[in-house]
Amino acid sequence: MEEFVGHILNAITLGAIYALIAVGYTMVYGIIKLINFAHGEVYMSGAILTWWAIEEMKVPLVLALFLSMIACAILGAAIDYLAYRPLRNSSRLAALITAIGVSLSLQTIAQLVFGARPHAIPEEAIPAFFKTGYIFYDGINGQTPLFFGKDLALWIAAAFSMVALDYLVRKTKTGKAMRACSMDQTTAALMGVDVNRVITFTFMIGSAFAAVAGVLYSLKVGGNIEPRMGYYPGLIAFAAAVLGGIGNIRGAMLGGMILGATQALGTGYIDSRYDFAYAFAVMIVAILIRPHGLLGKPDAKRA
Amino acid sequence: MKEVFKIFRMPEWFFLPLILVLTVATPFIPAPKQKIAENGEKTVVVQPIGFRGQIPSNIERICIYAIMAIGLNIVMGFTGLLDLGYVSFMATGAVLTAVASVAVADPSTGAWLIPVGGRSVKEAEHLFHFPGAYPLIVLFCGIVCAILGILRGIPTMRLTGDYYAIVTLGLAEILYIYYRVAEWTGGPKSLSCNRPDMPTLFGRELYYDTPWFYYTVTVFLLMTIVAARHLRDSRTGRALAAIRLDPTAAMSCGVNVNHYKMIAFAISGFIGGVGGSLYMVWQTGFSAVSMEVWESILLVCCLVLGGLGSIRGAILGAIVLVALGEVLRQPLPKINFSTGEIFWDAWPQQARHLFYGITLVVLMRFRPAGVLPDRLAKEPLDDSEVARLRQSDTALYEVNAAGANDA
Repeated sequence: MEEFVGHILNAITLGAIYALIAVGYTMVYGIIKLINFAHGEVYMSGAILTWWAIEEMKVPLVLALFLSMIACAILGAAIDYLAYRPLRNSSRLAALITAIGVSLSLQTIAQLVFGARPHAIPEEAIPAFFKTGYIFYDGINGQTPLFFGKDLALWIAAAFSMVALDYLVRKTKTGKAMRACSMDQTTAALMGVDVNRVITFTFMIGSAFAAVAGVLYSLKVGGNIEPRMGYYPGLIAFAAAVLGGIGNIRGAMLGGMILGATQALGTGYIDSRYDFAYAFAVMIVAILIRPHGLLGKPDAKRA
Repeated sequence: MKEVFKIFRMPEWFFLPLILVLTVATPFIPAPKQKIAENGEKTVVVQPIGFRGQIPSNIERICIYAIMAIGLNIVMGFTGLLDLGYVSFMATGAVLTAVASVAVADPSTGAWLIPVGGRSVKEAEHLFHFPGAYPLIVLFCGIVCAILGILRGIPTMRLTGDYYAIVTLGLAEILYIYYRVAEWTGGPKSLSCNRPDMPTLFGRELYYDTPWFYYTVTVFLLMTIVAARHLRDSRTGRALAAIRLDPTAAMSCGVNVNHYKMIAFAISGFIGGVGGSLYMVWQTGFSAVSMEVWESILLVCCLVLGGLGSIRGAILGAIVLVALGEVLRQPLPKINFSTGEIFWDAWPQQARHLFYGITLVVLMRFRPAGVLPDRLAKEPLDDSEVARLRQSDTALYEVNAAGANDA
């Protein structure tokens, strides 16, 4: 029973991380209809920059997180400006290939600058609260805590970000402009919406969220900050966005949770060596059976 | 100056014999003799040429990548579907060849064994080591991969564009994870084939430094080029081009879209399996961990560099990208970021990925048709252009309206 609860809590943690990445994917896809492959690399940059700020600049964790969010927001906007904006009117295939190229370049740059070996955020920078365990039970290795302070912090941060984003998109004027652009860019432009500015803003918000997810993930697993860390979570977050209905922010959150649960329960109960394969299988089935996603509206032109 | 540029526009028959003679002659250029130092020790000399040199080995590698790039071109260039999972065929071809090469009959039990992870069988016989076995193994790999392509094509039949790309990527990831876990493929360890394990072709050794393997690879590349050219100029090729330009229009002109897509998937898979089989012989082993999806991105990069749909372009892409990996083995300037000092050292092999990435971005921006675009293939229409054509009063529209008036 405790083991099952442990897997469920693990599922929520993974799901929260995937959901945080997936909102960036889904917002970008909703507006410019592009699979932003480089999003996983933005997630990686967030984690790596935070590690670098703590290790080299000796700044406290929260400030480092904040700085890397800003840096990633600028990075996201720069990717859009340099790589995607010139291709707005060309074919979708060209934009997709460009996205793969950007992803490959960023990954390699990180590898050349920061090295290929994994880093971890130094122990002394992590607050003691993060390491305390709660609700002990008798596990295989004696007394095992069900969850740690870091999990709690992760859930709170993820929930707060989600609620804030939902409020931003549904209630504010900027959010209204974003929704208008995703419905019809030409009409939105005629109504006085600065489409390019909205797209830049979308990239910035999505990238900042990806940075948060990267830092939370590396705190959760206690290390593994390396240039290739963004590839699988990025793909699975895209799968989550598709599963929930691409372009739909609440759908991305739901999809992230479902894929997190699939992966946590699959590795827990079936075979832990196939870790990411479960999420991919769910994604493929979702695309084939319900291409518009769980919460999306059917669209004859897509898929 | 114009005359200098004119040579680049010479017809292919001018260059083909030249390239052929050079390719055939390369293994016969003698290797430089190893120097023996005064204390009697042999100094290591990098041998650029000769049977065991770098250049023949790299030509083999270029040919293998060119074969696979042409195979991918059939789906990506001819049919216009972005396939990010082509590495599955490469991995399947390679693993089947590796398994067939090392499989032995155990005399004590009479069952077959694949010696994996230190399991060794003494006094056993290789099952597939008879004269002329390698062509059979290649054919088998090709057919299995063609079936794999068809199986993969059944669910992805209705998908186009982004969703097709992402589903092929997902399927390739699942297969990659499976090969990395399964025991019969060697799993995380690799399945290594030593010289006596390698299959033979007409009684001659196939090993990366034998001229016989060198010629095998070049002949396979030639056959692939001929086959792909015939496919492109055939009725099937025209049907695929129609599907690429507009599936709906192709369907309304009587092209059975699903049927022709299946043919493309099967042929592409077949060539991928053959390429994977040759790749395993070249590598003298199969390592599941190395068959990552980035390998298929490399092939995509070959095609984009040379020009989607262009066979010459695919070969050019393979030459440039493989040669680039070699260039990066040489010392190049490097910056130490903490001190700001510049020094000379070999770059990490990953540096070529940076070049691949930048190539993809820059080419899509400035030359989406690639460096050597196919003369016949026009650039596909943009979404916006298609919309404009559909909405405008084109001649076709007027004719229809006039016809209606007459009636």
